[in-house]
Amino acid sequence: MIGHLRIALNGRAIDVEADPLAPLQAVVHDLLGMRSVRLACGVGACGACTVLLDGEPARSCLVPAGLAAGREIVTSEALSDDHPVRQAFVAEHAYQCGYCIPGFVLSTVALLARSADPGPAEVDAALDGHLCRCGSYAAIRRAVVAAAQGGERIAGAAGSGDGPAESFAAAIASVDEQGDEPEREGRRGEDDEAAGPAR
Amino acid sequence: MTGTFEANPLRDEGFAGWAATADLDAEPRERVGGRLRYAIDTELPGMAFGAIVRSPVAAGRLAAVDVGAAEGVAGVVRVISGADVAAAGLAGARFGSLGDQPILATERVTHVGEPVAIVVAETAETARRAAKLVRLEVTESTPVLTADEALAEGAPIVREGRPDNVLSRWARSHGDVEAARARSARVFRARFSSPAAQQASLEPHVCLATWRDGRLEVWSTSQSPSRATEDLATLFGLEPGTVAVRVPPLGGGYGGKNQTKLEPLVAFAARATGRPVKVVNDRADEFVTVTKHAASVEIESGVDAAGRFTFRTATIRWSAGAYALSSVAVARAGGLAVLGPYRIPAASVESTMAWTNVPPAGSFRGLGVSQAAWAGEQQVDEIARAIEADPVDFRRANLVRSGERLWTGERVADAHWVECLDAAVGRLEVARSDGVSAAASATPAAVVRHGTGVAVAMKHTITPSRSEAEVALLADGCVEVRTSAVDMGQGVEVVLARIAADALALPVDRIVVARPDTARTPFDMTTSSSRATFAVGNAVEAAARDLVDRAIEAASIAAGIPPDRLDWGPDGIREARTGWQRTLRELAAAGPGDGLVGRATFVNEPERDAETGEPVSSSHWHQGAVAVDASVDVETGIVRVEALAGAAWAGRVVNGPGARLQNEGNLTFGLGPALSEALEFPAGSPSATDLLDYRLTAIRDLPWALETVALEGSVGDGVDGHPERHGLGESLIPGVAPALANAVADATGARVRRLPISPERLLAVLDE
Repeated sequence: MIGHLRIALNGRAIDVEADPLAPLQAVVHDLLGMRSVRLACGVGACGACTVLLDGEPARSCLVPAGLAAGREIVTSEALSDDHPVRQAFVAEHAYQCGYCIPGFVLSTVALLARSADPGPAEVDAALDGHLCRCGSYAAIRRAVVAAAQGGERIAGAAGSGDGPAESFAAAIASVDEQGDEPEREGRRGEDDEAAGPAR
Repeated sequence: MTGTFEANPLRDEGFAGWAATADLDAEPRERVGGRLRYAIDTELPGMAFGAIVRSPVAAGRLAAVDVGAAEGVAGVVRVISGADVAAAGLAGARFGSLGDQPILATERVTHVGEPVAIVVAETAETARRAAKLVRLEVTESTPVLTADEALAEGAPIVREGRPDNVLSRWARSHGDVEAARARSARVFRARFSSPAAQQASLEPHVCLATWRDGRLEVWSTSQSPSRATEDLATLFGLEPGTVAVRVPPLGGGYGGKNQTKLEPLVAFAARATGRPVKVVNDRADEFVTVTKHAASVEIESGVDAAGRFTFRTATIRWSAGAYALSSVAVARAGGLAVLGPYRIPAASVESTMAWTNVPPAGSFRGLGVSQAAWAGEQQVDEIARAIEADPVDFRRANLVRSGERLWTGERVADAHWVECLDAAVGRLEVARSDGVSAAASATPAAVVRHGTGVAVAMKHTITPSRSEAEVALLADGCVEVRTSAVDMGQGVEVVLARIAADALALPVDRIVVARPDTARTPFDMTTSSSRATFAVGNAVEAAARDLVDRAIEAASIAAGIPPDRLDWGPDGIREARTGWQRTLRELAAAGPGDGLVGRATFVNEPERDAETGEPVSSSHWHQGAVAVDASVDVETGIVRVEALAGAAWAGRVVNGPGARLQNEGNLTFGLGPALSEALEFPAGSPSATDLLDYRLTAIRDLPWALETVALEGSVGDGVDGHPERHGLGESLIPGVAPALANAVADATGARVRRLPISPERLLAVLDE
C-alpha cells in the first residue's frame, strides 16, 4: 500500500510516496538514492544497510519505513570526507572491497559520540553485527582507536552526544519554516559524477 | 512497488554506473564514503529485471514448466524456460570449465537451485513475485548427496555419460611407499573431513546485459571477464570483438565469482526480450549458486626412529556438486598440498572428484588446500605429540629447504616454510605480550584450558597461465595501465599502478588503471589463485618496458638521434650529451595514430626439473605459517582465539598496507570455516540460506592480540636481482583451521576431525 511519508533524511525533510511497511533500506536506497545503504543480507545480520536513527545505529533492512517517519535518519552520505572517522578509516586502510564500510563508519560515529575513549570490549560490542567478509576487522579497530585519539575533532564534527540530532533537527525545522516545501532531492554531500571514461 | 520519488539519482537516463578507469587517489575516500559503484549499481535506460526460477529438488525429470500464471502478472515482460532456449537452437549449448552447463535446465534437474526459468519484468519485485507462480512438474529421482554415496557401487548416475560419477581423478606417487612403510618406526593413520561452505561475498552475483547492433555488452561480477567473454562468444556464435564484459569493483569475490554463471542466462533473456536485463541474486540464491567442496581425507604417515618422515599417502574424496566449475583444479590443488611441504622420500596421493546432486562447488579462497591442510597439518601434530616431539621442532626438522625435493619428486627452488614458521611463532610471542583482551572471561578458570597450535600451508599458483597488459601514454602525459585483472578489494589496481610507476620511473599519481572491459582491455586468464600481483604484475612491468622502447624509437626517428643515445625519464626522452628533450606530453602528441602503447604477454610456463625432465607443479608456491593461542571452556565447548599470528612469503612487497590487509584478512577469513561456517545438504537443500543460519567471522571472534608479517627476500635474489613478487591472497588461510584444532588438542587432548570446531562437536569429542 503506497502512502505519503515525510522522511527526515540527513537534515532535510523529504516527501516520498512509499509503502510504510517497506524496509527503510529500500526507501532510502532505491527511492532516495542513498547508495551507501546497501542491502546485503536482508535479515539484520551484516550491518551493510546501517543508518543512524535518532543517533543510534539501526539495520534499515529490518525497520519499516513508516516507523522511521518523524525520526532523524542519517546515512553515510551526510558525512563529509573530512569527517575524522572517515579520515581515520582512510588513513588506517580500514577497507578492502568497501561494501560493508559505510555501516562500520556510522556505528563508529555513534560509539564515539557516547564514549570518547572506548576500550576494546566497547569497540567490539559496538561493531558486533557488522560483517566484513574481506576480513578488515583488525584495521577497522585501528581506525576506531585512531579516530578516538582525535576525539576533540570528532566532537566538533559529529556532535558530542546530542550534537547530530540537534543540528539535523534544526535543519529540518528551518526547511519547514520556509513554507513547508521539503526539498525534492535525494542526495547531499555526494561528489560523484556521471559514468564514462575518466580519461 | 516500494513507492516513487521523482529525483532518484540512480535512475538518471543513460547512467550505467560504470567508470572505465579507477581514480586511485579518490578511491579510498569513495570506498569509505560508500560512493564506489559496484555492478549492483549499474543501470541502463529501459532496463528490465530478471528473477530466476529454480529447481526445488535435487534430482529428477523435468516434465513441464508452466509459465502461464506468471506471464499473466501485470508488469511481466516475458517468462523464459528451457523450451525458449531450445526454440532458439541453443538446447545443446553448454558453457563452463568442462562444457557441462546449459543456459537453463531442460528434461533433467540435477541440484536444488538449478535454474529452470527466468521471469523478466518491469521491476525486480514483480519478477520475484511472478517467479513464484511458475509451476514445475518434476518426477523426483534418488539424489546422490555426498562423494561417498556417489562413488559407491551401484550409485545413481548424476551426469549422463559418466556412470562412475567420477568428474576427475588426480593421482601422483614418488618413491617406494611399501618399502618405506616396512622401515618405519611408527605408522599413523587418520581420517579428517570438511563440510561445504559458501563464499558469502556481501555483494551477491550480479549481471546486466544488453544487445546493441548485434553486439553483446555485459556488466558482471566476474573474476574472469576474459573467460566469460569467450564463453558468451562461443554460446551465441559471436565474432571475437563483439562481446564486451565489464567488471566494476567487486563487493567481495573469494573465488565464488571465478566462473561464468549468470552471464549466459541474462544475455539470453536480454536477446529474447530486446531489453537490457539485470539479475541480482538474493542471499538464498547465493547458497545454491556456488559453494566450497565438501571433502574427506584418509591420510597415512610413517616416521623413523629419528622422527623423520619415511612416507606419506593420502586419499581424498571431494563432492563437486552437479556442475564442474573449478573442480578439476581443486582436486589437483588439494592433492598437491595434502602431504605438506616436507621431506618425504616416498609418497602417493589419489584425489577423486565426484559428481553429486548438490549445488556446484567452485573456487573458495584457499582452493582445496584448506580441506587438505585440515588433514595433513593435524596429522603432523598428532605424530609430533605421539613421538613426544615439539610440534614446531618436528616441522622444522622435516620441512623442505630451497633446492630440496617436494614429495612429488620435483625440486623446489624457493622454499621459505622454515622462515615462515619461525616468524609466525615469533609473532605470536609479540601478539601475546602487547595484545589486549577484549573481554575478561567470566568463566571460572577451572573449566578453561589453554593451548597453542601451529600449521604451515603450501598452495600452488595456476601453471601455466597467461596475462596480457598494455601500458599506454596518454595525451596529458599520464600513463594508462590496461589489464583485465579484477579489483575485488585486494588492491590489485594499486599494485599494478606501482609496478608500472617503478618500471617507468614515474610518480604513481601519473598512472591510471583501466577497469576490466574486454572490448578494450587485453586477455587475462583469471583473477584468482593469488596470481595477479605475480602474473599480471609481470605483464605490466614488461609492457611498461615495451612502452619505453617504443617511445625511444619514436623519438629517435623524429629527432634523428640513434636510440642508444636516448634515455627515458620522468620528464620524457632525453639525450644526455646534447640536452635534447621531448616531454611525455609532446611524445604522446607526436606518436602514431593509436598513441604510444607498450604491450606484453606473461606466461608462467612450468620449468622442467633438471634431473627428471618433468615440469614442476607450480611456478612458485604460496607459503605461510599460522600460530595460535586458544582457550577452551570444557563445559560449554566454546573455543576462544586468544592470540593469532601469521607469516607469509611475499618475496617482494609492492604495497605494504595492502600486504598487511591480505595477511590479516587471511587469518580472519580462515576463522570462519574453522569456528562456525558449514553448509550441509540434507535431502539436497542447503542447511542455511541466510547469514543468520550461516555465521561468518564477526569482529568478536578475532583477538586483538594479532600479528602478521609478509616476509621479503633480499636484493640480489631472484632472476634479475629482485625477489619475485608473490600474491598474498591465500597464503595463510589453509593454516588457520588446523592450527586452531592443534591448539584445542594441546589444551584438552581432544582432537576435532570434522570442521567446524563448533561447541557441539568439541563437546562430543571431549566426551569420547
